Amino acid sequence: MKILIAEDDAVSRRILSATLTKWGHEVVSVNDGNEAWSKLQAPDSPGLAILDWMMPGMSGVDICRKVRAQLTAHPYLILLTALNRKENLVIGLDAGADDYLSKPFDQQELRVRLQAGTRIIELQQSLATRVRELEAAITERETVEEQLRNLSLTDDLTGLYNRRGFLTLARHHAKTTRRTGNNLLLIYCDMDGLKHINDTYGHAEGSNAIRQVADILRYTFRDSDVIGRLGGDEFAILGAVTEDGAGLLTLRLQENLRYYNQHSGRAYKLALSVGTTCVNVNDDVDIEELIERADEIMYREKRRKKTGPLAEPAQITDPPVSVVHR
Amino acid sequence: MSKILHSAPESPQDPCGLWAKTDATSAVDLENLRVLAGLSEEGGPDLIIELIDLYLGEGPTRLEGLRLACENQDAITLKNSAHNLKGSSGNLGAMKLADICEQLERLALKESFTEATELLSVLEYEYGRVQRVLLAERETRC
Repeated sequence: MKILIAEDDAVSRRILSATLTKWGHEVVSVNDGNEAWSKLQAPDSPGLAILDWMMPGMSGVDICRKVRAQLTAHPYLILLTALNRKENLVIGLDAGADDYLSKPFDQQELRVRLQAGTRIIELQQSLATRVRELEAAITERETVEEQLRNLSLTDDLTGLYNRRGFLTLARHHAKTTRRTGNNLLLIYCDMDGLKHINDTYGHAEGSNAIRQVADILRYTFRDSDVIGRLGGDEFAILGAVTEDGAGLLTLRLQENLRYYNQHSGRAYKLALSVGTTCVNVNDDVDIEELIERADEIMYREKRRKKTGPLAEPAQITDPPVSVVHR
Repeated sequence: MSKILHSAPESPQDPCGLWAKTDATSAVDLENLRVLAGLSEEGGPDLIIELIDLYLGEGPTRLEGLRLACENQDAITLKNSAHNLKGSSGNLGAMKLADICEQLERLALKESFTEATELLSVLEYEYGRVQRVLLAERETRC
């Protein structure tokens, strides 16, 4: 163990350092209080310090007080004193010393006091190690939970597929659709005025609005369609349709929205900007590219109807629906 | 030892009753000192010789400091210097000298400078005895 000896008397200092070195410790010796204090503040400071009570610069008791008040690492402090009267010991221990040692040294006493100190230091160290282990375990667990969340396919808020789930299912759907010869329709929806709902009625109501939209989507589309919340207020639906089926589905969506708004009794209305793309699935389909294309169309629609967050849902009869054949 | 310290003064020149009996016991407990030889590093210099040199090297300055503090009636310096000499003397086994130092510390606390000056003569005499014993011990170890 690394031990600091702060003692101004050369003879006592030499006897102590010779004793501790003999016992296998690494000894740092200083002869005044100020130097002792700077050694204790150093990065690789000793775990145990034997401090003489009376020293030039700063007394051992003063050092004890400063260590306890200012240092985060707490070395084990042994006060060295010939002042072995009881009231002095009380002052020393009260100042923050862990133990005391009386001069002239008794080898046996020194050994016993060091053993006690070493035990405490080892306990502190094993405690610190345990805390570090626990912290590491918590971090690891958080990482795993994050990974699990990322692995999850569904969205906690709405119960719809999340982006990952949507892409996975949509790819699978695209493959099976190719066999039926149908077209693949991707509808991309973005809520209008969610920020307004959040700002005015609070985020809980905002979440509620997102859930309502999810319910409307579930109600509107068929079990065979893949419905996902891609994030925030963005939704996507993928379904297999005949060539004129696309317009029908989006029309149904806007009708259901209008019906909901008439009967919900809420202070705000739900509105969606919608963009759709439709492809013939004879070719390989890149779902993400489909989403991007539908997103662009949706965005154009949103810009077009920028009459305010509470605007009536977009009229899809003036079609933002585009049917693309490849 | 405590009997010596607490016995009544036997003469005005011997305020603590130490002077008359100072030759009665050995100045240095050599048994105690020799135990320290075991702490010398293997193949290294003799620790006892090192300690004796350290102690005797500082001696004259320390005695001079005590004398000066008495003359200047500087109680704090007197007390601290006596305290330091007590520590190193005790560690080398010069127990009687350590006891005289403690007496001197108490007189300094009471600011009894006349008595302190008288005791200082006792201390100087005792230091001389300690020095002789230590030098003899050093001789046998060289």
